[in-house]
Amino acid sequence: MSGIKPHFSKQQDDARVEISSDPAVIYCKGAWTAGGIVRFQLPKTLSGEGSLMINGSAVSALDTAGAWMIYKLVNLAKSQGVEAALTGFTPEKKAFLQLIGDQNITLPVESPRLSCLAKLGQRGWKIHQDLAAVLAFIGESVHFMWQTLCYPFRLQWRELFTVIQQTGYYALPIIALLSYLVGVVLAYQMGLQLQNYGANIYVVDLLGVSILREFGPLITAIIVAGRTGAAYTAEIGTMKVNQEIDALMTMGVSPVDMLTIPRIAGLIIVLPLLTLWADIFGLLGGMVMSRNILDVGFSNFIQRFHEVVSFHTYYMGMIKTPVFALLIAAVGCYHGFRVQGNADSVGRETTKSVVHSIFLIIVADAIFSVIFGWSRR
Amino acid sequence: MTVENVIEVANLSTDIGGKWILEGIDLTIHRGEIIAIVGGSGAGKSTLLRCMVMLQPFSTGEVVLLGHNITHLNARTKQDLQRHWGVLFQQGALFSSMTVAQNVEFPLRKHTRLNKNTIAELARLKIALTGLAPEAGIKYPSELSGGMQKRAALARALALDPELLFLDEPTAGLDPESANAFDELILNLRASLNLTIVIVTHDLDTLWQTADRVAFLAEGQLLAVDTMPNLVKSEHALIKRYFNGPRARLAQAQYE
Repeated sequence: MSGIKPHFSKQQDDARVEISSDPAVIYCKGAWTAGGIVRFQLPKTLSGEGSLMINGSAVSALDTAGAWMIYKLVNLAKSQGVEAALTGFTPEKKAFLQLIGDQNITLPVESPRLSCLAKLGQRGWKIHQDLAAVLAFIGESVHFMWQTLCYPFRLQWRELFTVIQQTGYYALPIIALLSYLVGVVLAYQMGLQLQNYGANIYVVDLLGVSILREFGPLITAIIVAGRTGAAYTAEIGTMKVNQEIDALMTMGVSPVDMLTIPRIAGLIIVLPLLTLWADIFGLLGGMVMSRNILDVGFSNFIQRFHEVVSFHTYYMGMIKTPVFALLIAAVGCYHGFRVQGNADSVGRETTKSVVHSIFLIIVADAIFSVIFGWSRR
Repeated sequence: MTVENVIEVANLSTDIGGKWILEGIDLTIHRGEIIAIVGGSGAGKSTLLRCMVMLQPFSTGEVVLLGHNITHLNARTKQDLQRHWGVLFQQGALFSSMTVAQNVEFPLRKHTRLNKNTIAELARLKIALTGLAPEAGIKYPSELSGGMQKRAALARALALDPELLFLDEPTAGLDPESANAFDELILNLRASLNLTIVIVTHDLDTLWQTADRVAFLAEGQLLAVDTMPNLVKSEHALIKRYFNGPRARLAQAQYE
């Protein structure tokens, strides 16, 4: 009867030894199993001059862990100059002990520790390689983008439309909701200040400029970076783990051409549209809030909007979006290709992809502000 | 020692998306036996294996593992029960973010209360038992060849000294030498650890060399369970076709 024996049930009889000195015999008793040897301590010293018997007639159960412990007992004896013989074990147990004892489990030599200089060198070399990889990726992408522009029929149209649906259409609700809320918050915060001066109607100027120029494009880009950039990395990374990328290469198809170009092109089409969508909902939120707390009615709001917010403002916001799209898609795909063959790596690269693309979006936004500032002078 | 039934499958049927994958399977596996499950692609071999290790729920029928009916198990017994078998998946399914040694240590850490050193030593022992060099322990699965990955996965499956071992195509994709060594290893382990082993395989050499009995599946039904020499003499059309190709006959001639 074997049935189920939980590995650590309470009533299990522990492995233990009883040592008799004349003749020198160690009697092993109880269950020599992974559960039974938990509390077992090897005896510090062994009696016996020259020879010792290890008797296993009272061993109730034996598994690898227990056999290993008995083998350690034998080794302990050997280290003290005592030859230990195994007696009283059933033939099966003895054969099993033999099998365990025969295994060579010497620890592999660990690779030597590196000096500081060597580590620095390794770091530097890695940065060099990373930079080379980035440049190669940019080069390849630009090459294929140029080819696609010259011969548009080369583009994977199916893939492109899937990208547009996935990253654009399905993102509409979340972007609408979040930009609406941003509009509400902005109107509320600015309204509180403006009320102090009785300048309620100026909320329109502030909302118009801030949402169209900054918040619409930025919020949309950040949502898309988290939503789509991460998805790009995970998709391509998983393909890499499954050797699908290798399969493409053996067919003479460039993975960059096949996977990156439709994603970049799709996002460049989609992000401006999503930004427009975010602008609409942001302003809507602002409008609703202005009416509720600032007594600026819808018609007043729209009239004032016409007067103070020029098309130029809208254009200033919109012109940034293709750049943001390019950054998100390129960073997402690049990190996807950098995935090494394990699950951890997919997670690590996805995190990096989101962090890097948001970082680059904000840097790019700052650069745009500076450029627009100059051009106004 | 009396014959004890380790696995009893009775009238097992299961469907995936309205299509019957297994229909009325009856199969009994005794302790200490090596049983192979064969059949053409899509015959339901892997599904049967998945049913037996509780990965795949089934529609009707019963599976009794080590005396426990797996349809009526509370979570606690289920967990205890799961420690009594090891599964070697077709692709190895080693945790890619851990080294081989960590992979093997993982079940020991989760299910025993041994101290760290003992666990590390036991893991090295299991790795050695499967014929891998000690250096393999510090490597990541992606740094190993296919055959070594299979061995490492086997070491992990053996970590808790299971009574039952499920192997899904253990020799697929191995070179003939490694495949032979793997077959020997399986026989060796059975002899020394008294394992009961269920193998899903297409490998004719494995069938002839290791299997005590072979269960032949076709179109979701169990056509025959018999020893290899008897099975090749079967008059059933599907079994005949399976074992009548040039490869099969070559293998047969070699072992008979």
